[in-house]
Amino acid sequence: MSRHLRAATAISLLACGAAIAGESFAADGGRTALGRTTISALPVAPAAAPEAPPDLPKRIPAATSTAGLHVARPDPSFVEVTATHAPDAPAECIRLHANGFPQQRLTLAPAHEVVPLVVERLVEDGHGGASLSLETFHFDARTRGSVLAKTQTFPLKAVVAPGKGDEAVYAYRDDASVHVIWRASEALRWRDMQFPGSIGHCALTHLVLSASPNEAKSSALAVGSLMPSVKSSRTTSGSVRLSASISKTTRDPEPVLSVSVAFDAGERSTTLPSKRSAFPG
Amino acid sequence: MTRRARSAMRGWCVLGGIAALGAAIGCGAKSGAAPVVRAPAKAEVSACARTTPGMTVAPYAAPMANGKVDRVREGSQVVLAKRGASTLAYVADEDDGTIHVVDLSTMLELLTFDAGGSPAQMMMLPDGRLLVTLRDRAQVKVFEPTGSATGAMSERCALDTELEPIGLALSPDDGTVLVSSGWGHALTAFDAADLGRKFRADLPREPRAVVVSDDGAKAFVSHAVGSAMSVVDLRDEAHAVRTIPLKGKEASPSRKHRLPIFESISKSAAIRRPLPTPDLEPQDRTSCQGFALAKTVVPDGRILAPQVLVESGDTSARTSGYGSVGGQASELPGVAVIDQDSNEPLAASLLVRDERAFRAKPERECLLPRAAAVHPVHGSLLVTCVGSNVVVEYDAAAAEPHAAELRTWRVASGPTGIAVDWAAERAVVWSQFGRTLNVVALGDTVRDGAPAEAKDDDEADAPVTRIALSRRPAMPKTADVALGRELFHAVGDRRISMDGRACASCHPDGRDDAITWATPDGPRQTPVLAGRLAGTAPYAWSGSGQSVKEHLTHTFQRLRGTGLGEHEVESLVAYVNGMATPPSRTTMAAEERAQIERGSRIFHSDAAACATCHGKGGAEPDGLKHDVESRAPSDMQAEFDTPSLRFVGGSAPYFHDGRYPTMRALLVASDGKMGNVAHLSPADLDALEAYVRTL
Repeated sequence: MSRHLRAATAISLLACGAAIAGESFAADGGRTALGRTTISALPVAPAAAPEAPPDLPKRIPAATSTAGLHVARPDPSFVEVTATHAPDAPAECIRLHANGFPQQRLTLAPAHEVVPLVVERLVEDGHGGASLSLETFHFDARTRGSVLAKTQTFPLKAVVAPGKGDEAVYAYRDDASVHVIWRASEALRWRDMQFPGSIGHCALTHLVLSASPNEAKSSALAVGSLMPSVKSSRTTSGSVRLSASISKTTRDPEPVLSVSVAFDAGERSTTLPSKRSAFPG
Repeated sequence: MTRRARSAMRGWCVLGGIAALGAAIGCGAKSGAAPVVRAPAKAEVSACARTTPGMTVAPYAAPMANGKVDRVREGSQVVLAKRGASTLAYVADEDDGTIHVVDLSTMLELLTFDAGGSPAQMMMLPDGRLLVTLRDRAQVKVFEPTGSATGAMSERCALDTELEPIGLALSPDDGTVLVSSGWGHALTAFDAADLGRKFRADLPREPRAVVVSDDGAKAFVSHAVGSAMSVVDLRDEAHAVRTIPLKGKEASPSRKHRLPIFESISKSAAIRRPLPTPDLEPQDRTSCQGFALAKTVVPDGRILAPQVLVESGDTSARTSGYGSVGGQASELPGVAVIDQDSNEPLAASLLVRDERAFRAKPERECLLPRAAAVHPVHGSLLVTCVGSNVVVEYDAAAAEPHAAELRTWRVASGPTGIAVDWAAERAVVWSQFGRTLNVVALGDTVRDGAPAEAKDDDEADAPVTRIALSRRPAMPKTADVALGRELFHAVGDRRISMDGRACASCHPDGRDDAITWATPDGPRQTPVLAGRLAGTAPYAWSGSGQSVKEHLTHTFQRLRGTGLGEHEVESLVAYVNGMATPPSRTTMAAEERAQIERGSRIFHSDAAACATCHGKGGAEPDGLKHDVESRAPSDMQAEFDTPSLRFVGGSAPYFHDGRYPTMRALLVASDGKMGNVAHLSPADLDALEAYVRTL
């Protein structure tokens, strides 16, 4: 082995070792990105407080409105709620209460009771740092009135740093869970494969894993067929998947979070003709 | 001599007697700057030791878990070696019984030499000797570099092994060579220095790949059938074998799961956290197709075992096809992750989900994994998949790698071997059916921007370079048989099955999967095909197929395939009829031979009456159906076609519903219903069993 090869190997192994020690390791293979980190290296959510208090108001007057939500009524039968665009947030999503799935816009029937809505807003500082803001609103679809009930901000750690496709994967943890936030370059329709019936449609994907490693339920997978481009009439048949799981073996000092983003973009090949037959005849 | 002539000459350098001729006419006249190998010490000198120190070929090295760069210690059909600055690929060509040498710098085939049999795997020892398992010869051939620039090798010796040697591995201290034997169901250890036999450990059916733990204390062995991996203690004198169950489960969330979004409207919950475990009703699945193993480097301590998890249906009920059918995938790919130190599989790695509906190209499912290797720096696992003809890259650090698929590459038909040239960022893949060496670029070659910008296949960059390798002029396989083999292994071919499974899914290597399936007729144990078809009509346990062709057509219907064309069916029949049979023993001790002869006499006696139905040598069944009081509750009928007993010794479990796990259990329990053994002494019973195992 050449001296250069040995040096390259040593560097690679050092990088890998560092990854397991807590620093993120991102090997961007073009259309795939791989990131790993230990759980202890993730920032901890300050408090596992409920997103919404258990008692919701019976009714919110129409005159009550809160900055952060935009409500439209494209059809008399429905109201459409979106997050008000924040200039420093590259991705914003809205979801219905705690276990909803992030959407660009949420359509609700006015017959609903007051419901809690959560706006997820990713803020990136441009230097690899990021945070996730969760704003919980109480919303009355009948009156379109809303109240901001709670705001929480969680620091994030980049597990897959923003790369060529401008995708990035961040993570944080709380006492029992690891949260994986994938910011895509555009809105995707995606599923959490733990619950394939669920469909989110947003540039943010938020997977929640049990912090207990090696449990079958702890791993999650999102698959999203790319939506038609807003800028052109073209659609794409490809799909992209985020895979995240937590595992630990005897040798791992602590659980390892492994994350990958993979694009299904097809493969190519060329053929070289046989130069000759190696056998007589 | 012109360059062209010299090049042509190189191709003629076939080892054996021709090697000397090749050297004489200039094959490998150059010798590159290669590492010098010490002369063998006195203690090492044997018939198998190196005789030509100063060899020009050295084993390929890769980063290891301990941070050092060390040799690759697992066998493969593709072995990389360094010759000076060049990287050579040695390719085991099982069809031709040869070994090709390809220079990966020039992408040219340098040489092909005779392996002396059908090479299954190869592994290079630290001193450059090349070990080759010969599947059809019960031998490991030992070659050594001749010093030729072509990477030529000359034969040193042959080691006798159990029947059908396949897998190879070398212990971390370079002291022990391990050989798995498929039909011989054993792991045999040899001293790496003199290649003398050290010990033999008996294993369950159909062992294939072998890897040794980092501390050299145990060997992990995969099995093509049986839902388990074996762990052999290498240090203990008894060499105990422990079994790791690899059965899995399928999460079926779509059946009873309530969408959390509905739940959330009516309930107030705490901050978003893992959702309550949905009512998944995980369904048990057996595992199969354990042909490959790989050991992780980053993170270390994991054994990765590509496999397929099988849902064979509830055998207590009749179904409309083989297995549950009804839209459910009978076979799903998986990668089991074994903790190297605790020997325990990660639970998540045994859970699979049917994601076909969400995949752009479900026909590329890896349902016939055949070889695996890790990229030691990326921390990814590369698996070759026959039938779908792809190489799949997984995240090797994931709890369930099969759910963390990173990339796939199309390769030529029948990829059965792989090696990773990590320094050059490429994988070298041997496609046995297509007789092509694929060089897969692993670097950043495909995507540059959003996927929507990706080019069509034809106009994009070329991450896979294919090198067609030479072949013997007198190929025994005709075009029809080659087509039949392709069809037998075709995954995702709706003409054969609706859910994508191939013939080889249930008949790995033309044998059986050791699984009992729920069928419209009742429970049915998969029969061996290889070597059991000629002259054994009718076919199927019910005897419903009067010809192989008729039975195949019926099978496609049960698999809900749309059916093959006439020529394709004929080709498939030709392939199935001519499949390589499991090997038979050619030598045995006099005492053993006497016991088998005694067993033969019992088998053919009127008292035992085995041959009355199974015919002479168990290979000439009477073609009739009999009621041997074996009807299961879900069976449609009580009478079953008399099967051929060829190769019955290696095809447990037994009977149409797989009720008997061992041959002895079958012989004893069926007394009076199917032949008679009650009158036999234990020694006679031993003799009868020994004879039947030789059929």
